[in-house]
Amino acid sequence: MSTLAPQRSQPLKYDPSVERAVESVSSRLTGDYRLTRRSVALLLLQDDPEIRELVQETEGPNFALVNDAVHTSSQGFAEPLDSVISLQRRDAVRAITESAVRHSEHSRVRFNERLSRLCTSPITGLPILALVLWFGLYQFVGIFGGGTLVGLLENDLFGGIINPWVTKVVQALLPWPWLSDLFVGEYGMWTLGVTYAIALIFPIVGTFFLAFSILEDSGYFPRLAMLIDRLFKTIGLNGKAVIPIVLGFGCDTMATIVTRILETRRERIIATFLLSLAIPCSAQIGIMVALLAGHPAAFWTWAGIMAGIFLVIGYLTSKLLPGEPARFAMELPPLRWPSLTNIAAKTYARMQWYLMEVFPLFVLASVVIWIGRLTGLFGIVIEALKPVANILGFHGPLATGMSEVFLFGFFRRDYGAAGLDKMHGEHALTGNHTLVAVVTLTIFLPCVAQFLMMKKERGMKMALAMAGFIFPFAIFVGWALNLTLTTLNIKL
Amino acid sequence: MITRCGFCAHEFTEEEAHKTCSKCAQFGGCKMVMCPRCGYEMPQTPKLIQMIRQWRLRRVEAAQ
Amino acid sequence: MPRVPFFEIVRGARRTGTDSVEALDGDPVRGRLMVVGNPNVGKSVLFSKLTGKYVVVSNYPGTTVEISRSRACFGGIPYEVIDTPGMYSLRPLSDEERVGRALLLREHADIVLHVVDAKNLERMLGFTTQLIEAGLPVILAINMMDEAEKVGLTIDSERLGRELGIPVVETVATTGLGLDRLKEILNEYAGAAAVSAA
Repeated sequence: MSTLAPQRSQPLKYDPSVERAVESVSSRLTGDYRLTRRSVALLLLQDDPEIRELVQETEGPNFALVNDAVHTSSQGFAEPLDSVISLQRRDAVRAITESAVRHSEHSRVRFNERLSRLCTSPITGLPILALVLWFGLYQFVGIFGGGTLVGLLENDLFGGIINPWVTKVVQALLPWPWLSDLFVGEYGMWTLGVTYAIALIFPIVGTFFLAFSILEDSGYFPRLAMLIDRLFKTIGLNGKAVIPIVLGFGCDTMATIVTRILETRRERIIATFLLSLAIPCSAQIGIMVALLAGHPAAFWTWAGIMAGIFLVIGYLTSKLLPGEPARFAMELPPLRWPSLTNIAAKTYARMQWYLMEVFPLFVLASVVIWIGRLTGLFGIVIEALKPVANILGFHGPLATGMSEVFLFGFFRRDYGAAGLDKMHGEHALTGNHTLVAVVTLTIFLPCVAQFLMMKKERGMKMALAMAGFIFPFAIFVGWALNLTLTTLNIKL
Repeated sequence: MITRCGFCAHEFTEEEAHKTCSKCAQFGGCKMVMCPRCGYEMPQTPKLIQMIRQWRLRRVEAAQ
Repeated sequence: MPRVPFFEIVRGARRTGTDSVEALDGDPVRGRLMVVGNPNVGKSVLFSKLTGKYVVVSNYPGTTVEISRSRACFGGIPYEVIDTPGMYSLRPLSDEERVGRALLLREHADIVLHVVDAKNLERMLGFTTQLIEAGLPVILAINMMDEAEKVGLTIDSERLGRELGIPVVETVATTGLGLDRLKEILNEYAGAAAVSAA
């Protein structure tokens, strides 16, 4: 074949009855179309509105004849011609493909498929997920990242070498304690802000994003989504709102789903409650986990509580969005061994994004605290928050520390985590304490993006009202948890 | 720059993805990219990575 | 969503008589290659591999749909290469598909390169047959062959080519596999089309 045109323009032959219909229409066409008349006829018979217009335009008075042909032909068929033609085309294409395509199942393919099915079926998928959480999240991010790496950076590098030196230098340059405090004081820009950004957040979030990127590149995530969806379905719940949170699709997704359909007062109350279950986005979950390092029982309890919260979300979304069909008819990309370059690129991208946010805010926080301390405002707020800390079971010096954590947590969860880490350093926190603190911090307040979304969807008043609901709610959960632990005398 | 969605493996350019940015509270001010097919969020490819990819592409093209 | 005023567009083409073949940069182009296919088959990657870095992205008039045009040399002839919006079939379901079809109908294509996903041949060949039925000069590029191989698929492209009556090439656009063969075929047909037009 040495030229593309003219070609066989009839790769498919339809049933004689269809061919006759096509012939009767195409023979009436007199105009000049860029497509073959056969093609135009077929499209006309399939009821294509734009082609009809085109033909009407082109044929002018002749169109009536053409239209007639289309009508009479269509009547000769029991089903709409459109589907008849589509089906025949589909069958013909299938025959062609079958003659040319061969499936060979070699062992690698079968293994991949088996593994894929194991991940998505609830019975085997849950244990796999548990393993992923244990090794990927707890061991790698929590113990290695949060323990080893943070220890190295925080205690040895910053605590032992850098910070004392920086402190000396700054204090020499600025011999006024009230000023040098801004940089190297207890809440100094360097000693708290920068140190925590590099020594605490960086290793934890780094290991988290590394694990996340590995999982993402391997293709596990859509399977995890399917698993959650199936699990929720077996209990009759809707997994639609949960999955975006778990996979870090963006914190605002929940707000979008819910606020889309709110009409009645009752629904709005439910929505308020839903949104008040302020779940942190994936990276911050990583930080929470790192704080629980060393207390495996606490970790599983926390995971259990999170699961419980997800179930509540699922329950409420089921009530709020009845009859929404599952949308998991998507094609799963194949499971594959993650590639090093991809992992490196993705981890780097996420880390850069996160640290760009964290760094400036941490430094800013130090300035704000500094002003607060100079004005005495800081001390007042801490005192005011102490009773709250007491409710959660923190007394004495722990109460001061915990109040700080609340104050920091108001600002950002990861800053609150920095405060919690500070407490770890100064007092020995028991497993119970850590669990209560982390759970409270987890449900604490919406992050800025969530709050902005609430404000955008429901107005400032509503957004404030919801935030005003969340804080006591988080405290309530913390209190209930503490009560349960102490009354049942459980030591985690 | 052609990116692949981490969730549904759909390939798209980051310019296309910016069109769907009105859904988010931050109207494109954040540095995330949303997959047009499934809504999965990923950070925008950082400049360094973009440069590395272009450099590697140029090497492959020069060799052909 | 705004409807693309379909027959007005076509009417415009017939009024001017010839199609507007735009000169992008340098010699005026004397041929046009349209790259068509689903949005997820690596069509854009193939487009970028066939063309240079000079790409003009513009809206199809009256719509928000963007089209990329560039140029390349096939058979010694400067060609305009168009990356059409994603199309699943000749029956459009979205604005993008409407524009895609409008392009095929309004602008003369010397070659139509249909890019498909090797893993989903059956779903995509329907469109190929529609294009052939319409009398368009089609070349089929079966892309993402590497992924098909991973799931154990083997494709007899020669057989396929015979059944359909068009040239078929297997490619992996991201690595460049099959690109040479594709360019060979494009050169061959560009040359032949020029000869038959002369």
